Amino acid sequence: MHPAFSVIFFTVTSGMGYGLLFFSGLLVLLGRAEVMVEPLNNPLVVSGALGLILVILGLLSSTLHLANPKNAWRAFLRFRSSWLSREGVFALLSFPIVLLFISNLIWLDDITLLTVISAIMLMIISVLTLYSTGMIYACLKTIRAWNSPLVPINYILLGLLSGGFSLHAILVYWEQQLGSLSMLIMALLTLSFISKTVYYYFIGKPSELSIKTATGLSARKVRLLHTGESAKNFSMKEFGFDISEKKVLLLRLLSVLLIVVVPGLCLLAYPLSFSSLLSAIICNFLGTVMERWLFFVEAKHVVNLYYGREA
Amino acid sequence: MRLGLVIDLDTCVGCHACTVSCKEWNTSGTTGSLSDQNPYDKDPTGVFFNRVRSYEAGDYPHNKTVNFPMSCMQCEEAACVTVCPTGASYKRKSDGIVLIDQDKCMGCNYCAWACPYGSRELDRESGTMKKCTLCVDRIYDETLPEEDRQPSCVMTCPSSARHFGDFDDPNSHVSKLTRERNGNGLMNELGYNPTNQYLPPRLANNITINKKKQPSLAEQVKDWANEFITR
Repeated sequence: MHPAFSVIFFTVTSGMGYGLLFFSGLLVLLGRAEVMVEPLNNPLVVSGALGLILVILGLLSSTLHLANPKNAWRAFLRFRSSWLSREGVFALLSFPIVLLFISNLIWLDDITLLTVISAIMLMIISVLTLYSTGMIYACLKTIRAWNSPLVPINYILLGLLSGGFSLHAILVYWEQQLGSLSMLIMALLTLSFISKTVYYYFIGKPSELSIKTATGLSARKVRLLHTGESAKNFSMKEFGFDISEKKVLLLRLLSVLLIVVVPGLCLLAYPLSFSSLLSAIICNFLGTVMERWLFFVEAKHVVNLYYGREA
Repeated sequence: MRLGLVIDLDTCVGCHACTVSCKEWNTSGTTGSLSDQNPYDKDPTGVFFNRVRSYEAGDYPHNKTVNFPMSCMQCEEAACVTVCPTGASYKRKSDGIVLIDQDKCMGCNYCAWACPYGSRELDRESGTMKKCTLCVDRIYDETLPEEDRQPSCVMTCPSSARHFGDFDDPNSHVSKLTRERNGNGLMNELGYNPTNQYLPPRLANNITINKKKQPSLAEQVKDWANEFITR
């Protein structure tokens, strides 16, 4: 698949945003939220606002992928059948919840039941949106590398991971150490590593599809003689992307290094400083962009079979 | 009604007349125009509803060139319609034709990802997705003589490799053809239940090849002597 940068940036940024929002809600549930005299000095208000900004940036980036963005508002209409639409609807629903969450922290004198409810809602909507983003890809039967429950799991895990790092950095900036958050991030690091490894095993399985199954011809061997094209058409540009196996392997290793290994080491630094967490976030972000790029490049659409290529 | 095409892989000669005729009709049709980019330049590209590829089936001498036209299969379980977030893509209940409302499409390419046949192409000029309409602006046009109320590709095919009709009617021309010639849909394993059917190439007679035997020593001497004497 052609890796559209706008879509890659969207999934990574909005993933980070929803991860941040999820952990902000979790912090309230853990009883770690404090109401500050100066509301804007509250790390949770900052993390909520930052999460919202990241989500909006991601959504704006995703509209760059549209060839006819003036009809983008219609994308909220088919939430009963389309995962893309559901993603949009959940994203839209998350806005008032985030605003409710932040305003509770700013204007209420204490952590009330309303704050707790908004925190729970925030966590639910964050995971739901991340799940929908993954399902946009996972529901396509035409792309074997995507048609797996591992895809939404990966989207959720990587989103939560980058969000966890961000919240940790914000807390450390406010000089609040939270050991349990470090533990949670470590658990997420391990889980992301496992799920990504399982995913790579899953897509490494040889395909059962071939030019023979695609054309339905019963001959022993079927070869492409001519595509009938003098230049690349839409399908060839959108679905055909060549990359050597060596390069893929190198990028896989590099992305795992940037997503899991380096940030993990940053987290182990003692005492945990803001700068080490910031470098963890940057590494994790770059690694996730790389991982998303690979996610597109390694996905082979079945239409490639008709062009004599693998799928 | 379940309207669709039958494509005879045995008789298709791969002339691309259907491709050209389709473009000619549909560029001024309901979803027109079908824009081209760099049409006379280095990397020409543009929207087509129908494309023909050629394959070689089997090994020499038992091989055969199979020309393979593909357009929208008007699937019963059209995934392109399910995934469409705007509701621009829809499947008509009355005749099963899958269409795109050009006023609603936002050009996200998602339906093209869901289509296993590469039948949907983005028009870079209008920014909307386009696809085969089964010449919906032609097959119901009562100002045309009845025999002309067929898709443009079917009308133009010089080898009658394309047939149009209603698959819900067991006695229709297309249903009979599919039954008699063991027609099959493409990539049925995905479960989209494509309406268009492909008739497999008929079994060809094996070509006998005269294998010249290596002449014996005596014959070789004779041949040499003959050549020598004539010289």
